[in-house]
Amino acid sequence: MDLDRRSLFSGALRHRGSQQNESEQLALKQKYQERLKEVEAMEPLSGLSLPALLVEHRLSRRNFMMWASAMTAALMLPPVFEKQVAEAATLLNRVPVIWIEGQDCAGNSEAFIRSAGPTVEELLFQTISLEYHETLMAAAGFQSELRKQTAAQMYKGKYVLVVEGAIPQGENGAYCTIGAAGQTFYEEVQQLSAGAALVIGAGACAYYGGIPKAYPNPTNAVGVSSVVSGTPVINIPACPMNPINFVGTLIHYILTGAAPALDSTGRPIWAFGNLIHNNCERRAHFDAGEYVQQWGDLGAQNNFCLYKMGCKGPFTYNNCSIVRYNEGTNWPIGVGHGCIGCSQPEFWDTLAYERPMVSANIHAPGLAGLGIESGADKFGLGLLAVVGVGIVAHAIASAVGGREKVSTMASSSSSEAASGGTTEKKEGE
Amino acid sequence: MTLDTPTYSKHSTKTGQVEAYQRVQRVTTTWRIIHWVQALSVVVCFITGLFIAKPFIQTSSIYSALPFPIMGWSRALHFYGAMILDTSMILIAYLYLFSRSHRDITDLRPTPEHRSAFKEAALNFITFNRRRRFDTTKRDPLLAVMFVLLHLLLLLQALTGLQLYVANFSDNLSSVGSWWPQFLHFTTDWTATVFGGNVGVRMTHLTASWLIIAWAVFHIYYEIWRTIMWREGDVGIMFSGSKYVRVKDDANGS
Ligand code: SF4
Ligand code: SF4
Repeated sequence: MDLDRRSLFSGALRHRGSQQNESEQLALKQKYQERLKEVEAMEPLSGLSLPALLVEHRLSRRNFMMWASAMTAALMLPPVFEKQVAEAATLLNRVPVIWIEGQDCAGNSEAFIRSAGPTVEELLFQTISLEYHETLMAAAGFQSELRKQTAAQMYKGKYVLVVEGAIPQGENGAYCTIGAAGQTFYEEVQQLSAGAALVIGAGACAYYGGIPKAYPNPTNAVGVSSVVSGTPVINIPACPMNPINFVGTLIHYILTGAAPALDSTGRPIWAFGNLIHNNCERRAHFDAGEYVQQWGDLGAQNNFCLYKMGCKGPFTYNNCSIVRYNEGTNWPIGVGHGCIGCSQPEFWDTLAYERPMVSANIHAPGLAGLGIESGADKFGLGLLAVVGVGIVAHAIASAVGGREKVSTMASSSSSEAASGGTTEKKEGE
Repeated sequence: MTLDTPTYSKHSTKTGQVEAYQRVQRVTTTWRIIHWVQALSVVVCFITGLFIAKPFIQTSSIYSALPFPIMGWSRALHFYGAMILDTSMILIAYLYLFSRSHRDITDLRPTPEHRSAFKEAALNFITFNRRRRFDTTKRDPLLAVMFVLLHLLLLLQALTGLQLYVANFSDNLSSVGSWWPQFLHFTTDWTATVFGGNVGVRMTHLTASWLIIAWAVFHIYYEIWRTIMWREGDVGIMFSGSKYVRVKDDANGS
């Protein structure tokens, strides 16, 4: 499977809206239908099926279709694709998934399973064939290790590898080892990604290193894209990632067999193509110049724009202003707190402070923000290096230009030395 | 630079000496229009830019908004000002290199003559007008170099500004077609790599704006200083296009 940057969703359908050519739409529909048939013919890998789960959890078909239509819209597909999206959702149990965690807080896993009532995403999460997930599986130790190896072999080239968390590279990766064998996370990612059809970086830490990579990044953490090569990587950042974006990416994969169109940092454009700010419900207050100036002031009570409280919506690409969290219940700005830019690269160091960017004076103390001790060390070493270079340069210059002078002086009598000096002076002139 | 046919104006100084002045044509009307359009755009962009970075005006009562969307207008004016600056810079670059009357780029050739004029002008400035050993009828060599610096700053501002501007577009949608954002991405995306992402570009844009304002303050001071110290009406160049130089009046034996 290759990474098609002009994949079906973005290339053929983006920004065409109602103007869209009907025959094109029909062709696309047919293509999806064929692909869905293919997937349906595959053996379901998990015993759970979505329709059964929906019945069990008393979620009506109507609930499900509402979800499907929201998902279709989120994927930037016209409404006629609703049925296919719904069908793709029921086929998610055909995809083998291996989910590994490194330097993280398991927040992205939690985002799926900690909703108040079972959401459609949560049920979908149950139906996908989760072959391995440290936090959720019953097996432990060597047993779980074995499970991972078997799954990786059995579904070689077919499984989706989900990586949650950053990957420490310092000390040969010793900062994070996984399992009874003590394999480093770095090795694990490299090994498992080689056999995967697709790698999904789940959450901010897998995206650009997130919080583990924040200054001074003691473990030399990096994101998944820096480690994986040869297998397409889709990043679904945010802290935590929105389950909708994860499920949507999988549905896209079921429908097309390919990764969606990605931006330059590997985020799906359908989810991360717009600024929070451009779809924010408080945007009118922004343009009007009405801002919250203090927590709890009258502006805050009237849902004014949070820009002056440090909202980073104008710099952050994500769809939470549209799809929101927890089945569309609400989202951070909706409850009155500014965006902290959690889906942006290196957000912790560059955006996550509750002040406007121009008044954020958060540099590390010490010379040029190098830190207190480390700054002194670097300053000292730099000084030493300059002195060293100076000494060497001086020694070389003396050796080249000055040696003759010394030998003349040493081998002649004092009067000759004096005349030698004069001669030299002339030469110098 | 054309010296007019002698239109001397004579003044008696306290000591009874008579000073004669001659008018020197210095800049064309086009040049003056560009200058003032750019100056105005810089001022507009700076003020609106400050507001965009940190809105400093807000009505005291939350129940009555300002009668117009102030942030909306600030951004609009900032962008219009920037567009004017950017296009006028293209015009200037063209005139600079290919003008039919005078190609300013030739003033920058580091010939011995130019170098000594630049050195003398700079020394004259830092010695508080103690040594005027260069031709003040011609373009100030110090300022000629300073203007190059300003335009490099404006270029940096244009590139970083357009990068921030296109980052705000939804994918490749724009009112004039998708070629425009694509063009902006193509020409300015490298700034994100060089300056450290969107935040780095923003910080560079802010820093450069202060440098430009510092430059403008120096420029205004230098023009006024020149006018006062040289007594040749230099400040008038950008208003009337000409200045006056003192001519030695041999008849008075001065
Ligand atoms: S609250 Fe934030 S995202 Fe919303 S309009 Fe204000 S600055 Fe933009
Ligand atoms: S509003 Fe901003 S910080 Fe909050 S979840 Fe969305 S992208 Fe992340």
